[in-house]
Amino acid sequence: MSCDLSVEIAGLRFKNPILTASGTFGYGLEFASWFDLGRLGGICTKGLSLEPLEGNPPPRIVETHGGMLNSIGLQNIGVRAFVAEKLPKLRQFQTHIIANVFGSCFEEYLEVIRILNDAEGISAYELNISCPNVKAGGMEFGNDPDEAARLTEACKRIARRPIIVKLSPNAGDIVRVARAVEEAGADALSAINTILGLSVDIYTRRPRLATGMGGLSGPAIKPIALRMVYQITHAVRIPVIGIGGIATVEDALEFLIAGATAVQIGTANYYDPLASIKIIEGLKRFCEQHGITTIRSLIGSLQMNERLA
Amino acid sequence: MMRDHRVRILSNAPETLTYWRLRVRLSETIAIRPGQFVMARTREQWEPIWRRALVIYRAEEHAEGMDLEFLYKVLGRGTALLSRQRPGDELEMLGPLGNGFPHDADPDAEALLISGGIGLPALYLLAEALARDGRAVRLFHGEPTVEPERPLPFLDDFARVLEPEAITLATEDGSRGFPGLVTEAVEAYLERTRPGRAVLYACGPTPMLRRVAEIAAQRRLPAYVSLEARMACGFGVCLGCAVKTQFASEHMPHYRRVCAEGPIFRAEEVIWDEL
Repeated sequence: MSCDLSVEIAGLRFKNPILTASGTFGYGLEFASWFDLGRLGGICTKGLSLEPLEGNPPPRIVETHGGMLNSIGLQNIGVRAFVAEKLPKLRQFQTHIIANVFGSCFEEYLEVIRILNDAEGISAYELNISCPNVKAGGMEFGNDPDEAARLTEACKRIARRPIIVKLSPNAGDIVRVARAVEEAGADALSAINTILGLSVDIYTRRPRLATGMGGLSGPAIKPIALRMVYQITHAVRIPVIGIGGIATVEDALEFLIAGATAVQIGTANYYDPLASIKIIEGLKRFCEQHGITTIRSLIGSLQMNERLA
Repeated sequence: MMRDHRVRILSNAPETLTYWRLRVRLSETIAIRPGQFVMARTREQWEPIWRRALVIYRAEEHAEGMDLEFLYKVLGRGTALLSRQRPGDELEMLGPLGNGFPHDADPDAEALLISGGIGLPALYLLAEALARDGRAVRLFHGEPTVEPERPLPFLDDFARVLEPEAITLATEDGSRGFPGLVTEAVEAYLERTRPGRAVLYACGPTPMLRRVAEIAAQRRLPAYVSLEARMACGFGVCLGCAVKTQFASEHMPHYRRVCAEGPIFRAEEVIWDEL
């Protein structure tokens, strides 16, 4: 008996619930020599801005217990180069391409979406309202429910494709932001982006990253991400894509059971370029071993202790 | 081609007070350029979360495939974990990665290989390739200190491919060989011999590389340096290892990735003040 791994988000059918997270998978093509990208449920591209961005000075990354901090600074080739040079090759793979979009101001988000609207082979847009690295890169949008809603509404008005809003755990109340952007028309949510962190060199008494603070990712953040995804899925009706320290098939299953409709694999891609494929294979095995005919039966099946629910 | 090779450890033991030698067996033969590296981890390991970059020190083909050797220092959690792996254990090695040294840069020039500390293993395959081509090759290796009577087995490795008198050991405290910095030994050699043509190849701490770049610029000699940077992936996607360089592509005028466009750069390309 084979299990149906497909899920539906914003009217799109995904062959399986395993996507790769923005910023950890390049423009997708970097992984084409490792496996057929068509095996993935979807690919979230590196964040795209209107103009190319150089990124932050080094050191940009530091290893921590169970994870890492990064402050890459949203380095990317810009949306036009993406459309001209990367997308024609990328869209040949049988998977959903989700373009991750950010801007330093409202109008820039809209301009990036306008350019992508005319390009073929993109399934949805993921709005990065939450990257903590660049001052102008969205901290304000992501932290304030009203600003996040205004941005979502403006993007939704012009976008020819579904909008997924990627939420920041650094917001005071992520559930309020989730409700606000749902109200503003978001088709789906993804959560969580990295958690703002700091690492100190005790000998120089300076931060280990050139920019001071950076975003924490990796297995260390998984319980926090899982808790937030659980809370968000209970507060909104639109689908939520879970992100945060997923390293194994068991991690992915936890997110689905907690309420995520799909998940994104991030930091694991760095130490194992085959991580996402191993997790897809693991899902199939798990379903077969436990007589699960559709992965959808797992989604949101968490039975929370009533006293704590 | 880059792959995630599952390799078996043949030996893994301390060679001196600071250096460990790891020897592993691949079940196939791969093409390696001098100065290329692998990203290594123990099986299915994700704590510590990053693989460790290990430059390929030596490579030997045989009927069953290929043996690779690495020299490393135990510096942190990753190398400590590596040092606890025993013969028979398996490792996962992604590679070979990086661009490698150009060993045909100037076929008639004398090749001066310059290393400091754990920079040394990046230069063995280069020394071997240059010597095979019949090139004049010298090695200058620097250490802070070396115990007077202790053997240095890795310098013996180089002595098998280079003339023994072509190898200069420099120690900062003068405990052995040339007393002073390795770059001072190189300068003394250049001052004495004034070679018309020479190519400098260097791997070691950043201040040493920077000094090599200055020496090369003053004497109008080409120099190639192998840079080091923190890497989460090693194959070009995390963008963590970016360094500022003079020339880069149209879209990225300054930053280049040590893992993908490097680790070897022409010395004059590197913006040393921003490393």
